Amino acid sequence: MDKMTGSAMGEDTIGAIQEGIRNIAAEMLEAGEVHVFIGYEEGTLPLRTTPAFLTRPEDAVRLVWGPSCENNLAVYLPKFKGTVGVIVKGCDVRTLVNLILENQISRDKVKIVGVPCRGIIDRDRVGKALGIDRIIKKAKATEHNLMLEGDGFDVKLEFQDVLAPSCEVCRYPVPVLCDVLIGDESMARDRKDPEAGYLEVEQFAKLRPDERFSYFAQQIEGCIQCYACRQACPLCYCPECFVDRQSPKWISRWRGLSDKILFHLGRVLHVAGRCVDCGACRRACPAGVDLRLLTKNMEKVVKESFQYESGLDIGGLPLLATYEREDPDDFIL
Amino acid sequence: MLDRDTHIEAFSTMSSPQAVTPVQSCADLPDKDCVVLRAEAPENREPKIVAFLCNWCSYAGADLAGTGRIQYPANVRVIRVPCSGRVDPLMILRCLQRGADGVLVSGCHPGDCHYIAGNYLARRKFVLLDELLDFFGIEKGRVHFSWVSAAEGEKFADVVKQVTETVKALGKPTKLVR
Ligand code: SF4
Ligand code: SF4
Ligand code: FES
Repeated sequence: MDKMTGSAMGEDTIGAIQEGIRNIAAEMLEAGEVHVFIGYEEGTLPLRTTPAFLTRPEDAVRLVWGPSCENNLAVYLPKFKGTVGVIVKGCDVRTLVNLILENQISRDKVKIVGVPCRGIIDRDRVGKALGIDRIIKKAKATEHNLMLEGDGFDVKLEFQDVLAPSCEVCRYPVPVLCDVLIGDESMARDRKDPEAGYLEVEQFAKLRPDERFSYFAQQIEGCIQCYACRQACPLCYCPECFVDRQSPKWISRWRGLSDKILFHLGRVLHVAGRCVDCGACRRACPAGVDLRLLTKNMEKVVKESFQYESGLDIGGLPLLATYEREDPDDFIL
Repeated sequence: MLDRDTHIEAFSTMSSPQAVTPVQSCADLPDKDCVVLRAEAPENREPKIVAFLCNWCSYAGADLAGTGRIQYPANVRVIRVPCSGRVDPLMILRCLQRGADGVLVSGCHPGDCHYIAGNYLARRKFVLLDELLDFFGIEKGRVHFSWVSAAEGEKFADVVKQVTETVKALGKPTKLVR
């Protein structure tokens, strides 16, 4: 089966990046620089890749690169004891920076292999563009297109139309921190201004409070409290999450909407000032719950109130571990 | 052991409109640490406001208001906390979820925190919570923050008056209540 990976793309950028990744992985494992190398390999379905944990240099040929390499691999890092090599996109590395900042991993225990990112696809958007109940048998990506084949169809989609929403407004497609950058910066997408990312949030904020509430309530209604969003987020690393606590029991799984709302508000607050809009939580959700507006709005609030942007610097202190005397206080009686 | 909901039902029908005892610890309920705030009179509904008061300032401020015999609405149910920095935004959400009409968090003035920076750190969290609730579509005015020192009995009374009025005007909460 021809899956969507760099190998299908001939000599172009994505193919070159894939080669680069394989070489560097093999080199690092060969030299014993890393105990494990984490990258992507082909998944069992077209348009899917799956995380690969390599320990032998000869396995490096399994690694692939392409716009379906969507997982944020930083999520696995706190689980490893030895030195780990990891492939990161622009957003992934910012979560990694946060992990270093929050003392979850140490900088010298991780070899960061950065990829100048062109964006990843959003499978919901692919599904929409294709129409439901069409099973993709073959997928192929080129620089600007996505070719999909199945029983009775053979379509060519514009990559722009199926790009993940976070990527559309990405400000840091080139990793802000890495040991090795595959290729060069010119291979990445163009940087977007922060304002572009907030348009949607601003538009939404203009709705009446009741409308906003019912939008969110409707999204959250669908939540089955599987907590896959939490699992997928590299920043949700607490050994005991508040949703799992028995005493106090913050959240119950049989109480319905109110408890689900509490979970999501709690989650958004816990990633506030840390979330980098990598989109892993949304992609992980089996129920299609989309609360990106909430996290995006938090990002905007943090930027405007504290002039802070998450995941850019391994020095300093996390947002909520420090303060300024001049922080906003006009809301305090 | 009584079923949780039956217990709450029984409790709310027991309370008369005047003698509302809205804060009852429910030690024999499955959720040991919860506080039931469901007692409710149909008419003449008086809002119930949970006030988290810092031990070192606002709690003493409330005490001063009491000893000074300053009148303020009896709608607040005080929970004493060691510092405003102790107040986890989840505690505020939990109050709203369990039927509180409003929540007030009050601590020492900036610079006066017993633990030096607790209130500064709390302030950041409150900015986030405030904005989050607003964006989510929960009425502005359910959750309030204030700085009240141990010497400000008057101010405490004023804050409580202001908060009570705002919360009363919002009517019965529906959005987060479980
Ligand atoms: S992944 Fe989706 S369904 Fe699961 S807890 Fe998160 S929002 Fe709910
Ligand atoms: S909350 Fe979601 S978008 Fe934000 S960092 Fe975590 S997984 Fe990424
Ligand atoms: S001790 Fe009062 S706010 Fe910290």
